Amino acid sequence: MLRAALPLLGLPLAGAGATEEPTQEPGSPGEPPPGLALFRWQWHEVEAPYLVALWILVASLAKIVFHLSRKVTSLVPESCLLILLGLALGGIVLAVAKKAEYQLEPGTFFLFLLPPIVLDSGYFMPSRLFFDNLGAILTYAVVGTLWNAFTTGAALWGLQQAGLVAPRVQAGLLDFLLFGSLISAVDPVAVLAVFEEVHVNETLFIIVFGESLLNDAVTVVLYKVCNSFVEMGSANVRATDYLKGVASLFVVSLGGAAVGLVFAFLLALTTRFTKRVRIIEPLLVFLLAYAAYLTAEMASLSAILAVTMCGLGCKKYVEANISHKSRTAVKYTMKTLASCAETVIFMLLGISAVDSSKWAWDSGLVLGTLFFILFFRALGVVLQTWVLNQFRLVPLDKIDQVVMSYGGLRGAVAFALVILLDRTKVPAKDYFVATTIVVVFFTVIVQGLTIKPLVKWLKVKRSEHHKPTLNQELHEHTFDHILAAVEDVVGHHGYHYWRDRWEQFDKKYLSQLLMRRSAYRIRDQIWDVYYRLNIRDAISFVDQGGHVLSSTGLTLPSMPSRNSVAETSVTNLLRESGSGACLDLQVIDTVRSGRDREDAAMHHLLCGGLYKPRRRYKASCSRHFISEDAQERQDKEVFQQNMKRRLESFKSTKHNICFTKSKPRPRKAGRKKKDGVANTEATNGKPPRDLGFHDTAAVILTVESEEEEDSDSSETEKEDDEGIIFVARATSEVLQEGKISGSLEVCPSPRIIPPSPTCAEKELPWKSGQGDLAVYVSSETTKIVPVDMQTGWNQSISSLESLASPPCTQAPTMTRLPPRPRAREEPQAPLKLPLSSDPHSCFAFPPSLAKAGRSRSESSADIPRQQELQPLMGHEDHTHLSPGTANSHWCIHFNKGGRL
Amino acid sequence: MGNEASYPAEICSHFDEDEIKRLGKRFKKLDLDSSGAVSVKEFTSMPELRENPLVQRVIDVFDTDGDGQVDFREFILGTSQFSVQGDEQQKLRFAFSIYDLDKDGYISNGELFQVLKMMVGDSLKDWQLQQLVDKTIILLDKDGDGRISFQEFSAVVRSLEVHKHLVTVV
Repeated sequence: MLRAALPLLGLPLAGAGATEEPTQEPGSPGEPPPGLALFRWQWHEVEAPYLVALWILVASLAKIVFHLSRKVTSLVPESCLLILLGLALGGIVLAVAKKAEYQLEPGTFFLFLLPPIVLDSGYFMPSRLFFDNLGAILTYAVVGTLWNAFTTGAALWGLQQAGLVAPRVQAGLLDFLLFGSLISAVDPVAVLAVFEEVHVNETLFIIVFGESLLNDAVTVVLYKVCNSFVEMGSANVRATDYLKGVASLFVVSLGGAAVGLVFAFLLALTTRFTKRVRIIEPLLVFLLAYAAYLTAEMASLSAILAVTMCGLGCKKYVEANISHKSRTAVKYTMKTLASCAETVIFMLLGISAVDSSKWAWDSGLVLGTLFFILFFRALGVVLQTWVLNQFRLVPLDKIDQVVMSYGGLRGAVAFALVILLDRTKVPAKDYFVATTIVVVFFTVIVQGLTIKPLVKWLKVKRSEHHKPTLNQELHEHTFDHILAAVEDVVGHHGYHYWRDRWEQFDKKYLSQLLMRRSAYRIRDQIWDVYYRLNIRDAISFVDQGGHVLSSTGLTLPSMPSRNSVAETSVTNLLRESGSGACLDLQVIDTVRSGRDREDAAMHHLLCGGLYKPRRRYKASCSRHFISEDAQERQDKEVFQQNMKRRLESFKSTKHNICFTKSKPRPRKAGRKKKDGVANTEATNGKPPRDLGFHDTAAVILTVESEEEEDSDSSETEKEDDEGIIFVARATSEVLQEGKISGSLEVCPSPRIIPPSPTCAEKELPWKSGQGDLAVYVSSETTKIVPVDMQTGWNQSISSLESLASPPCTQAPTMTRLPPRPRAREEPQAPLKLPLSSDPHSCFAFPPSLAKAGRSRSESSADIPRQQELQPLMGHEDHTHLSPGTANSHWCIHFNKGGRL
Repeated sequence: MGNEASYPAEICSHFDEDEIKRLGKRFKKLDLDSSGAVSVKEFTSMPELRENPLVQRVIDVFDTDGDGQVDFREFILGTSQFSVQGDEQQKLRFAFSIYDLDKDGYISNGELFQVLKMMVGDSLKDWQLQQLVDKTIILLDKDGDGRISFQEFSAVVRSLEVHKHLVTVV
């Protein structure tokens, strides 16, 4: 359809601004060539992009203004406001310039404004939900659109025959069918804009939205076919042409989808090899998706379908391949572009409506169209749903149908298509334009305004917004497998059977081909969710600012009898103190009674742990690599300091006994120990320090080259999830029951000498430290809503490094480590202060480890006794190692203790 | 397999005649030795059943009397739980029993591990899986006994509403 649009291509606003020009151009052209102008005003050279930028700016500012008032936006959808704004602006422009400017050009719309929106919706489409409802979506998209187009067109023709449409509207049956085809399609932009604010349940949303995306192919075909029929004249249309029309439906839709999938494949394959040029990863996503759009457009296939399929198809692999930062970049850029495009579209729609030269009014036609599109949409939905419900396992009920009928919003696509009509071939174009504008405005404004109350009134099931939980993911997986298994047993090859097949195929071939090996290895959905939860927990843990730590650290060890139920008591504790307002000094003030000691410890923790700028970072500026910003560095710094302090505290508690000083132990002891542990940790010559826990048997902290930590922070390709590597392994000897401190050739009696409280700790000088407290909480972490801590803070620390790892790159040792390692960290980390005033402050065993230990004893024999624990950093980061670049590398091995 | 006219009412509650006939045909196909019951061996002799990791578990849950075989009644009753009309409690119970290997009414850490291991295959390392299992148990385990009872299980799963999807056409 858009071939015709191409000649019209041009920036929407180009050629505009004629009004301002003369006033703004001081230099008149008649002058003789001046020598050297100090100041030249070159409006013409920047005019077009300047105006585009200006309009986007206006739209964005308008958006900001709308959202200043929560009340307005909760009642009125943004799209309505933007259209109204567009109307107002258009009126102003019309009044000033005496002619309509800045209209929605079909070329601009289809080539620039539509792709970002479609890409955004395709890429972030919940693919599972989409495919689960694919049957319904396809039915509504194909059958529904055809139905709407033909019935509306035919009914309008009937209306004309009945004499209700003024005779000046010169249109035959074909013209009306053409009009019906362009007005019948539900518009993805409008639907998305409205439904995103309504929050109906996911099934309903995906059906309406999926329909609006997929019906593009049908609309394109219908429009093209009808248009060419009109141009040929109805007398010349032969039977073969109808057949061709039907065939082109398949060509356009399947072709578009195929183009999209091909580009998705290319995209996934490309991102597999971007390891060294991370910075262009987001660009690739946009480029190839846009290429898919343009290619489909070029071949006059369904471009919307192409981009949708491209986004849908590539997401899984791209997300696995690209780095975390690129993922964020893709997400934000996509959302920004889409929202920008959407804003501009609605505003330009409003502006375009002002231009009265383009349209001619006919009440009969307008009212008739309005009635018919509503009526036939509802009728079509009811009929199709009735058929679908015969097959659907979860039938769509009456309320769903009402919302679906009412949610059939028309939008900019219809408008752009009607503008594209050729007036010489379609004499009634002006009437159609007017009708389309009215229909679009009616559906977007009236239906958009009322759909929210309607949904509320009908009590449509809303979608609860919840983050993916581990349980959900887990059980969904299980249920899928159960269903597939049942279908297998029953011998019915249904949906689940084929999905199972597809997943197996994907796992065996596609993923292997399209994913980085490192990404593929750790690729598992459940694990993904788990990983994300961990990071979230860690963030909220940091957000809690160590309060939780101190409380558990101080209470738990004093109740050794509760060790067996350690995690439950921790859970309870967390439940009590999970409010996360630990840094709120008022809370501390009000709840002073029981917490004084804790608060003292807290205060000292904060005082001691405050970041003190010690050195200046060399300013690094690279075009190709993003250096971390100061905040990030600071976080790392803080974390690093904490780690150091923790290590020192280990020294102070343990090494007092074990060694006279915290001198590096003889290397061979370390080697010996390591042999006992496993051969994975190949330290490089540096004398490791072994540190033991009271509870946890032995912890080997191999701290390498602390002194070198001002390493090259601008190291190439460094990601912030690198740095500290924790390896936690259970040694066989420490697994023996009741034996604490397994590797005891070094630390025979791991008792802790409680440090006596210093006098400084007896006071509670937190008042003085108020200003400092905030330092600990990075701006980012404060934004995170505290997760309910009971669920899993025990893993939280384990992913702490991903937030704050020291500015160091990979150590050369890691090349020698097996790729699968490592890392589990001790949750209790920062509380372990050297200053800790509590006499009982032995290192509490982290619940997760406790759990692991206990579970191990419970679970059956085939559960491996030797576990390595979680790798906290993305594996992909480990694979790329540049030996020699890394200096300071902390390798901390925790020897996990036996049961508690 | 018995005479089709004499099915107990419980069987027919969820299926109409056609469906039972179809299931009967399928059952006959599975029942290689025509013993009236399908043993695990017979199930696994079907090539397409070998690939799905949970077939073994499903068969085990179907086999309500624990004789290692699924007779026709068990077959029908088992599959009937997945019909659209099947009630939620039943579906939940079925899902629970998939995890509950030793049928003691509790999902222990080890059981969950084993079932997950069947599903994920070797895409996850054992230690990863163990962490997952630990976390899941902690999340689900409300009374702190380290295992999951049916109450705990259904409370969480019901709120997730995933069991509603436990529906298929048989």
